[in-house]
Amino acid sequence: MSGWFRGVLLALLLMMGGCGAFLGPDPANTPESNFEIFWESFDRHYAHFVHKDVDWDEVYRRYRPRVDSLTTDEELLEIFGEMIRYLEDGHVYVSAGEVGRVQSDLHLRGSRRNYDRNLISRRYIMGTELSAGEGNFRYGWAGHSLGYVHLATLSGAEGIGEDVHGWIEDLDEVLAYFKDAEGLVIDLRNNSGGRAFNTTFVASRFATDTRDFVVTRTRNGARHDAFSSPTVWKVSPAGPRQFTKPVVVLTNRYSFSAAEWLTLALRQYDHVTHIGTNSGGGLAMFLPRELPNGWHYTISVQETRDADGIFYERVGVPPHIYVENSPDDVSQNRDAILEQALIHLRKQAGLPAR
Amino acid sequence: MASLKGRCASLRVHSTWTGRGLALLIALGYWCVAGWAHSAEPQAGANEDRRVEERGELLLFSGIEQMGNRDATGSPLAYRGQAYPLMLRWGRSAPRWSRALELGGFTPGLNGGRLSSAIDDGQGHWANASFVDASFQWRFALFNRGGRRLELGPRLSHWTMYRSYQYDPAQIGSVEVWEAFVSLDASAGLRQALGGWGELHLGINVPLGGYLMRPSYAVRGDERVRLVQERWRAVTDGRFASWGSFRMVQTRAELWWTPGKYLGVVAAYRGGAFSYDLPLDTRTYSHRFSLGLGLLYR
Repeated sequence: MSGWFRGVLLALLLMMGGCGAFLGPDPANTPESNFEIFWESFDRHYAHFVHKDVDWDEVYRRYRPRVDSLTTDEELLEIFGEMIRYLEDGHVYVSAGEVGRVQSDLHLRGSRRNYDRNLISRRYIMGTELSAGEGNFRYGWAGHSLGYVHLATLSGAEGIGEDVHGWIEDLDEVLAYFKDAEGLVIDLRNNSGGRAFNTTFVASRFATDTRDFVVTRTRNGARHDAFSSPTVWKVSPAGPRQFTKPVVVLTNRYSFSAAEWLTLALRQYDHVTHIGTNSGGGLAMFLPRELPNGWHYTISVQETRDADGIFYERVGVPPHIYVENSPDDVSQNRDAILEQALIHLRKQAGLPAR
Repeated sequence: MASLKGRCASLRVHSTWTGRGLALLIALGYWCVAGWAHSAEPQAGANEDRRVEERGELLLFSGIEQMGNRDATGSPLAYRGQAYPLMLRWGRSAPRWSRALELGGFTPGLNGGRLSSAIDDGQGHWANASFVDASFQWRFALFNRGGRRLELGPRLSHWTMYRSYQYDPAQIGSVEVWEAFVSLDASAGLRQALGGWGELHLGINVPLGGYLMRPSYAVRGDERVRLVQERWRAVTDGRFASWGSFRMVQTRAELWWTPGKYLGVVAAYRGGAFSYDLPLDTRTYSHRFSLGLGLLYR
């Protein structure tokens, strides 16, 4: 019987010892290894090579010779920065701790002059400006019977579907305040996005019926055009009240990600007009990854289109009425985008022009 | 028209899956009947063995599980960690057959499930893991003599493993991934009586056919409902049928001690490993050591 035990114990020890071999060794933490993993993970997962006509193999041929065992961290980060710049994607960046951080698309965002929070508070809000939702909603009257709400972010809060809870629930309080308004401005300028489910929560308070607004497909194969079947995102009326009088949604190039989803959701309804500049042009879901040297980076892994199949990545969602704040507007302390929104709302609501 | 097309598509999916399920059940039934017909009778003079073998078992196991995982989801590094699984087994042994239904698993917050990678940059690279497994096996005695019994039979098994990788808590949040597997296995076992005080059980399971479901590969941690959407897609899409690259083996060793007529104490080891290449290279192994205590009844 002792032979049995010896045999069993030996088998167990062999199995346990073999597990390291089963998983295989971790890759080396060298500049060359980090480069190869970085390039390959984009090659395998990035969703927009075809849409943006990026030759990723050419990027490899161009930058691989610049990396060898003597490449410093600073040099490697600079090379990564140049590589991802070809993607022009706001959801792609490399975070290298104390060495620094590089982003793919900041050069595309342009001027920040299309939104000035202090100017709006000072010049356009009548009376006291209120806030709710942990300060993420700032709101007040921007004219007789015309409400104004700025939504700073779509991050935070929790839950999915109709179970979203947290600061964003204060939206119902804000809409109750504007229950007698004849029109409402939803300002998404400089809103950098957040959770998709906060998007559907907000849009549900302006929905009149159920509509598709975004269709996503996830990269799922080695080929650059290999995608999963589509997932359709819908928005439906929910909550204690819906605001169905004229609404204007404002965007600029810093309205990004989930803020663009919210723009697309609101644009599905006839009582909503989109004014301002194109949005930021980064609608894809992204995923974080890590390298053997501890650096983090992100990759856009989904193709995201609107309900009509239009792809807005990089260019952003174009508004129904395009308005920019010119340098003259800025020097005269004017927000031409907001002024156009108020003119439009008065016209839609049948209110006298000021 | 579009609606009609949609209905036809759903029916096709439904029909395909009904067909596969039916085929699996027919195969299982056929194997059980064949096993019953050909299973070995206990040898003459082995009445003592026969009396011992006729028993029901209800056992609760608890222990520790060491596991390792490499998943091309987001990190090139392997993750290793441990959990404290709980298992429940309900079985019955007869002279010509034995069967067992087993449920087990672990989850963070209840009984562990934490993996860490070897990277050490001070930011914490870890993953929470949950594992649920369920199986039903029905084995038939092919050889039954002198306190030694060899069994072979089918096993229907399912497991789901869920992982939430945390790469950069300060900036990004987590990435979550799961896979689920249903299979029909070949299950072989050897029982050896140990001098009247107990038994040694050895077993091995190898899948004969099955289906692996996995989402496109991961979802961001703050959008968990996508797990559900992606899971349904994985079922209906058919693109994640990774059988071609799937490899799995499970082994078992159990030492049974029966200090009383109704009491069973079991020291158990279960080792397993699986890997697949599609949609991404994924490898996982586990060593589960546990102690079981339970009721034996006739």
